[in-house]
Amino acid sequence: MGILSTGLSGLLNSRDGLSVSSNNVANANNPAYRRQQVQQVSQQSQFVNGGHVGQGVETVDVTRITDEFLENQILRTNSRTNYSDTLATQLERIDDLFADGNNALSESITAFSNAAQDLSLRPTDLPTRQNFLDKADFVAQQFNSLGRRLDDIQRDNNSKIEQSVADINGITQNLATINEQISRDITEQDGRGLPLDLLDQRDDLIKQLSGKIAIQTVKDDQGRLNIFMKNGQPLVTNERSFDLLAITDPSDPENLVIARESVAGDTPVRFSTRYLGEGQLSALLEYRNGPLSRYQGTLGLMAARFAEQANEVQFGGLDLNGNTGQALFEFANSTAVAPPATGIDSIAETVSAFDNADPANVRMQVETLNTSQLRVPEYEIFAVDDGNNGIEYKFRELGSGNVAIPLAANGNTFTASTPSGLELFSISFAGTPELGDSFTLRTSVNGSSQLRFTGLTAEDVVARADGAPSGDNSQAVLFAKVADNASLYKREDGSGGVSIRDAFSRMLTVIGNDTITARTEALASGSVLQRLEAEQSAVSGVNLDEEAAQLIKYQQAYNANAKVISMSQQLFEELLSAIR
Amino acid sequence: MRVSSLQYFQGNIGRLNDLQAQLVQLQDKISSGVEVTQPSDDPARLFEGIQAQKAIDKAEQYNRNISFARTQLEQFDNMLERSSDTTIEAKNLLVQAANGTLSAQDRDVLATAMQALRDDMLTTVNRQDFQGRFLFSGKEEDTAPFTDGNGITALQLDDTLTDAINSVEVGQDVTVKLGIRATDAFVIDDANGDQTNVVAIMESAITKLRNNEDTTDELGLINTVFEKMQNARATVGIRLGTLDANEALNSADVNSLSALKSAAVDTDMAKAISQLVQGQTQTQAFQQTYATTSKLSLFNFVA
Repeated sequence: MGILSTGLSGLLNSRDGLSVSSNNVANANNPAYRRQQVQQVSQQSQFVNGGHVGQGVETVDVTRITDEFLENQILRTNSRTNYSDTLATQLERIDDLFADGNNALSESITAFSNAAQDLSLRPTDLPTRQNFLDKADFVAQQFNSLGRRLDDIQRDNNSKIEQSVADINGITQNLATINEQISRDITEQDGRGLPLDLLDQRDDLIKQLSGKIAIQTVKDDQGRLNIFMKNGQPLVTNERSFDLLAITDPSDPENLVIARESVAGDTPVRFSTRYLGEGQLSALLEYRNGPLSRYQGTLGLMAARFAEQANEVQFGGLDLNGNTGQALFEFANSTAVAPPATGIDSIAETVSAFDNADPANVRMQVETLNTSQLRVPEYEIFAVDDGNNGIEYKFRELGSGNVAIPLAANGNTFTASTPSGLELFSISFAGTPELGDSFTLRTSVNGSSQLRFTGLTAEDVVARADGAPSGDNSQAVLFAKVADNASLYKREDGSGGVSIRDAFSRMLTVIGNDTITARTEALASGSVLQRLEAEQSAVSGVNLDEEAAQLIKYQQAYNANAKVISMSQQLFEELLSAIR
Repeated sequence: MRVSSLQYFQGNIGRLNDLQAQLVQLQDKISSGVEVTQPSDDPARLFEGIQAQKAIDKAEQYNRNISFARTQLEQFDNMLERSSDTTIEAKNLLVQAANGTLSAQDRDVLATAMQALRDDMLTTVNRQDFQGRFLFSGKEEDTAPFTDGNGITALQLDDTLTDAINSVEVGQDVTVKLGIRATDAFVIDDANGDQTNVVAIMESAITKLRNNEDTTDELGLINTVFEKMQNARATVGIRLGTLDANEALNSADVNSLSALKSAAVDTDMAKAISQLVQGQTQTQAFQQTYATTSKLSLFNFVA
């Protein structure tokens, strides 16, 4: 009797082995699949006549082969890789925008300077004057075109943010469902026999999630996985998921910020980008607040400086009819274009920090900008204690970590100046900020897209200086220098500076270097991820040759066990015939 | 090391993709002839290329300015030549008039000849270009340099005006004045320190010849104004020389800058082509080994 049951146990075990191997073969191309193995133990032996005789084999479990340490490393690296990949991809879009032959902006600036040179040769010639105006319009259009394309990229980035949040919510909802199924399975089977396919699915979803947002996971005793963000906010607890929300910044309708459903069910909790850790979502947010906004600001500053200088030339001389010149450029939405104001303040944008006491209603406004002195496109302004139970405002370059410098108060207007006393900008407030409030000033973010040619006629062009004879070309000569004057980024004492043309070349260099850095980081973390995935695949992936060998092995074992069974039948028949 | 089958295939496909992407990039560089097309290709080289292009644009504009200035200054040269010729003829008349044997009638004939020269001279000094701008008026282009009324011809330009002629840039920090003002060619002070001009001198000579009076003073003044005209011609000649020199300089700059730009952004063909050949060989070798090794499977032997 022993031989028969021993043979049978071997037969069944071999069949299990064949099933598991077949399943491995079937899933060989499924990247989420972890190869499975039959766990077998020998059946309890029997004590017969002074010795233990084995009673066959038993399949106790089918397990997945995984390495938890590797899997966790992959999650972390996946967050980082997706972060740098997303940043690189988004930067490459801007890099493409400035591809060669697409440098219509610098061509238009050259054309403007050439037209001004021609104007200096024939200052009273009407066709020459008209050509000069056409080129001024051309410059404005090219600034607009670049500005609008950057705005498009920003809008597209916003929809990517919304998509990323939707993806995260979809994944966490699925994870909550799987948690529930796994926990039910485990409860029903007294903690034995983990549902391997569900575990595979869950691991795959967690990996996808880690690409979107940095996560930490904690397993509970019912096999459920609780998932938290970097700051400890829960995304999935037990069988419940918490949605992230992409909501419009109340102080900046163009900007999206991330919030989370509150556990208690009251108002959503907004949180700062740094709590998102790495991953696609934070890359998209940082891209918008970092490089994109900086490029928009730099381009806007160039546009503003170009317009201001050209207008100064117009205001400093006489047109063909002997009248003082009018503005050549203006900014859309600007309130004043008459000399000397050019509505420069309308190119700026202000953002209230989300944790301000009343971010939607207490707003900062820009009064004046000294575009030639601004060193960076963005500043931050804080309301701090003046040591006298009042509020004092301080500013510094955004993200610089420098010591903040107080703004000089004059009624409700506050002026920021360089240490040498040159004005940078002045601001005022609608509503009264509270202690601890802070604001971001994007000085020129709209400059490029809002630059407009005022539509002057040929007679309105100013070529001659005030008081000079009608054939004078002094002002025309000044027009020719607008793009080449050191008019931007002056030192704090007002000396030095960079020309508009050079600022543009420098901006291209910055874009190129930013892109290269992001790409290099993406490559580096991508190759780490690849290596880890290779290691993981080496542990958990299916090797077809190996499975073929397993199949042969179990097939042979199956045959051998069948032989044992038929032999036991033979033995039994021999026994019967001996009796007969 | 254990290798999973999926990883084996995916890894190979990934490598094949990389190789093909490299080939496409190389082909692109070769067919376009430009290696640095966008900032991230090489920021430093792109910057160099842009700076070179900026300097090329500038030099080319200088040369356009030069051809305009040359046409302009050649007009002045022609007009000054013509006025000089007329002045020489007037001088000859006055030398003849100095001959004591001449009768009043002879002097009258000389006066008539002088009148013709005076009319010719006035046309020359009040010359307008095809757009009606007075050549010798500098920035006061709408004002005729000299009156053409009754009585003595007088200067109409503002002779206190400084910087009365437009300049044009013909090179880095090199400017050339676009013309000569009447005050610098045709106007002198007489013995009493009063302002006079070439036409007025001739008119004074005509009156004296008709009255059979001595014209020695006018001969002296004509000589002085002739010298001033020659100085003006010399000035124009020097400016034309400056234009030629700068044009040559600018053209040389354009050449060397174009070479610089090309070195910065253009494809190094020899290098790119040898890389392409190397890449092709590599891809081919890879495809062959992949095709061979991927056929290896134990399942081929499972009955």
